[in-house]
Amino acid sequence: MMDPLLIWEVPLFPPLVRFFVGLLLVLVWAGGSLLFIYWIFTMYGKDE
Amino acid sequence: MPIGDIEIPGIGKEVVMAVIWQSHILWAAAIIGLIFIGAIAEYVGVITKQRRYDRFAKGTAIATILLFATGSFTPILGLLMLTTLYPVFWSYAQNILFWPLFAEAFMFVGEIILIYAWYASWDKLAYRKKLHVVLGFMAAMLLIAQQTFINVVGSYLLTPPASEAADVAASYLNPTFLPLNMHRFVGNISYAGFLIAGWGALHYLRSTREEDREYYDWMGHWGLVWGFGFLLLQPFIGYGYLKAIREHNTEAFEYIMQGEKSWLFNLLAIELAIMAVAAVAYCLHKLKFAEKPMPTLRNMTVGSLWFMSLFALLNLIPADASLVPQIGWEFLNGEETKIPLGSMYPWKYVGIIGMMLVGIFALGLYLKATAGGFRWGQASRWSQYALIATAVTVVFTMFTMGYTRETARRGADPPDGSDGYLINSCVTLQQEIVAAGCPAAPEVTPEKGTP
Repeated sequence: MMDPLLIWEVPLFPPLVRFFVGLLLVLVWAGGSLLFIYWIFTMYGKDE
Repeated sequence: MPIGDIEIPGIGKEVVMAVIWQSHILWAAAIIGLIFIGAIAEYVGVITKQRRYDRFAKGTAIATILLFATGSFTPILGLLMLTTLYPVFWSYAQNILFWPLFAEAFMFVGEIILIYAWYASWDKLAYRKKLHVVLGFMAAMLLIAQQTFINVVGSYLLTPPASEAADVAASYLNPTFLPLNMHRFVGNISYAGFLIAGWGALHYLRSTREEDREYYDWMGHWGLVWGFGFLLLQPFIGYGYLKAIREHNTEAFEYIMQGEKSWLFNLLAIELAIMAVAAVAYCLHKLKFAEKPMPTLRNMTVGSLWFMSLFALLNLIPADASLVPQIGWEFLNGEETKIPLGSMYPWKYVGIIGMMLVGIFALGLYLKATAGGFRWGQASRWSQYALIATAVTVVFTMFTMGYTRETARRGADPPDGSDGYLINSCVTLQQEIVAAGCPAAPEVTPEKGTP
């Protein structure tokens, strides 16, 4: 039975899928930031 | 729960938390380590008058500023999500840990002022260099203090003290705070060191100008010395941390070291093996370019590489045939099939202590060669790949360690049927307040819930 305080009931992926989706999201988020910095360093002149 | 429970479609709210805080720590730890190493580099530059130290220090300031916006936005989003998705837990945590979180906020303000001032005044204070160096050190100190305060929160959740929740000193100095703080202080420097090494290697491979090749070759070496040097301290401090967890949260210890999640330690052994072997292999390669030929030293480093590989391989042997039960990696009779040389005692201890001693020996030899100088800009591509391997592996090590600390609270068996605790023995994963068995609860009260 649904918990009466649950605001909406939503489908969830199985735990293992959630684990790997989480890992992928961290990599995308952190990696994206790193690529951005790398791009700035390499495209916009010397770093001194 | 007194108010509505919000769930996130697909990934669920636990993954939302994990993604936000894992991402945050990747940036935050890098910023702390970078500024720490950068400030020291700037001071070394003042003492030695070598131009590359200042160039490097300024590079860390630029990288930090670029990282800081994303790195500081993420925890703000995280706090918003904590308030929305875990309102009961977070209001208790805020109440109990008010002072550390309050101090945390002020450290944040100080950092913003100092990090940007450190960068912006680089040229203006060029003739008052010592004053400028002080700015860098002050920024580093604030960052380390901020990390210290958030470690109070992180360690409290795993091992709340036996005193009342209102006892600020006991909450601050909870049983695992000190070892966690030491582990993360050293870990951040090692993490940033390997990242610097990987960054230097990437640029070295792309550089065509002789001056740049020399600089980035040196940068890879400089990062590796910090990364590998501080990594060698980690097993020792980590042992102290695990010992504290075992004494004060036995269920968590058993869960991550002997139970369902013991594969995390095997994963860590793989990551340590890659970093240690790649680091010693890099040192060995670099000795070819020492200003003064050092054949004896080089032979001893060859021996170190063999021993390091041997000890690293010993650590890779799992204790039993149940490797990762969550994904069905169980062979033969699973836990019942014990693998020779795989047990923690004595073999993992032999392996880890061996790696530490051999690493210290190899690094000592390398530093001796460093004192005589190297011919920069001649390193091979493979040596740079080794540095990149350490940088990639250290990121995954951060994942592994962060996940281990947080998943450890699933080791318990809360009375409401939750999968674990948010505050150990006090607030369950479903945000039910438990008084019985909660070390911070002085007695069973309506406010703290009834068992």
